[in-house]
Amino acid sequence: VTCHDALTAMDAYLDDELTVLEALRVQQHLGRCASCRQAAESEAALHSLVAAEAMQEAPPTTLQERILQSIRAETGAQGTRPRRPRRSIPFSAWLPRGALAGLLLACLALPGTGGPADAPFAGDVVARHLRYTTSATPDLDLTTPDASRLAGWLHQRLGFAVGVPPAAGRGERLLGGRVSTIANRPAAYVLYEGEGGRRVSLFVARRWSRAPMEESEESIEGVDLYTATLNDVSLAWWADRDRFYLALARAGTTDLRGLAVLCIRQRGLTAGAPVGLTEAAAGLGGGPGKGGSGSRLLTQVHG
Amino acid sequence: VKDDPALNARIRQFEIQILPHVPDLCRIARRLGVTTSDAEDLVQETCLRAFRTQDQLRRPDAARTWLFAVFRSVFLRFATKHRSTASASSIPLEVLPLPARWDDAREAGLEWATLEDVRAAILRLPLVYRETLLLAHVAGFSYRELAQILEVPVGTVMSRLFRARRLVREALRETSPRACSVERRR
Repeated sequence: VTCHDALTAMDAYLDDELTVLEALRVQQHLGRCASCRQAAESEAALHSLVAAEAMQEAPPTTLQERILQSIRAETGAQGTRPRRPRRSIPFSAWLPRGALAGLLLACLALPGTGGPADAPFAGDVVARHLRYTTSATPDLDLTTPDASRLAGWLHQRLGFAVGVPPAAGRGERLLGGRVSTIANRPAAYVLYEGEGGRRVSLFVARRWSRAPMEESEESIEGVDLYTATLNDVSLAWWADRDRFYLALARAGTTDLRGLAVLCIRQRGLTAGAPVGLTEAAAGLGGGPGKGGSGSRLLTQVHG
Repeated sequence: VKDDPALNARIRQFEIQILPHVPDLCRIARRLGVTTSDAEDLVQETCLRAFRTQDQLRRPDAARTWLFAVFRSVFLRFATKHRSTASASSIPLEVLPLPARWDDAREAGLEWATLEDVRAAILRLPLVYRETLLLAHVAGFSYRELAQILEVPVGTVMSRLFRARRLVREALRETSPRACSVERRR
């Protein structure tokens, strides 16, 4: 990739419109070309400024209710207050126990390694994790330590609710998020950073598939958790209700298990969850590579 | 007052598919240069039209794209009626040439820019660029989705985005202390 190629592709790169391979090529060039890197950082700053400015506009909170009232008036429908979107998921929509293991194990193989070339999405998310986290200024659409604000922002853009723990498994602080994809499906991307610049990525998408039964490594509060390592990046994934979660970090999988616990516990909590979640994060301080079986983790959580 | 299960289900579907996007519609409407009151009216009309034509929506995952296309149609009719806002279609696409050198449009450094400067720069954009920029940055649409909403080829989306960003950058450069000091030195 030449400077001209990189600069020509810059908008598409920042807009997440390149293929993973193209994006990695641009990123590789940016890693060794200070001039193009400076241009990329400047352009990324402009993108962030435009988005941040428009987000300052606070729409009236009553508008949605007024619209609903208009519709009820027009149709003569009954109802004095809007119902919240139903979130219950039919039993048949649940993945069978261990189903995602088959799905992910099948997909973990990158092209050229004998795996299905049409579903290399684990390689894709690893590439995105590296791309979003490698530079000093992470590639985020919204930079905020406020989990509620980020969750609302992601909900607006994706059309589905995303629970965002205010800290990751070892207390890594929330940096922000962006809209991304997993397997060409819309996904929320959330980034945490801990001591020494250790970064943890979390992707959340709507669950989308079934796969053959396989045994998982461990279960956390009834949710099967799977882990793997790909290109020195640790992955942990799980499906909880109608969401699919995928966490990545260069650290060991223990950190990711901690984040999984936080996400799984968050959906079971009501208002005021962030305090409990932060406490849970503080109590899950296993270091990278310490192993940490599922039962040990559960002992920590419930102990 | 009806207690019609089918109608209630339709309204519930509307709540799930359409209402979550109201805040972004409002933000875009405001940045398209209309008053708060007009923005709310435009969004309300958009949602009512979306409800009436809900059966046209074949794929639930395309609801957001479809809704913003409906909004654009409502907005353009409003803009044509109220001549204070230019119609997007009346603005020639090639009002700005592409830069001879990419460096011209990508000079580093935006540290001086405030969000007020950015707002002013966005509001100064010709509508055809402003709507593309807002749909990309506020609503987060992909090039393909933008092409569907704006009814133009993907290449046109890319060139509009490029020009919009270049114009914003130039406007910000004009407000920068560095630019002012350069001017003074001259």
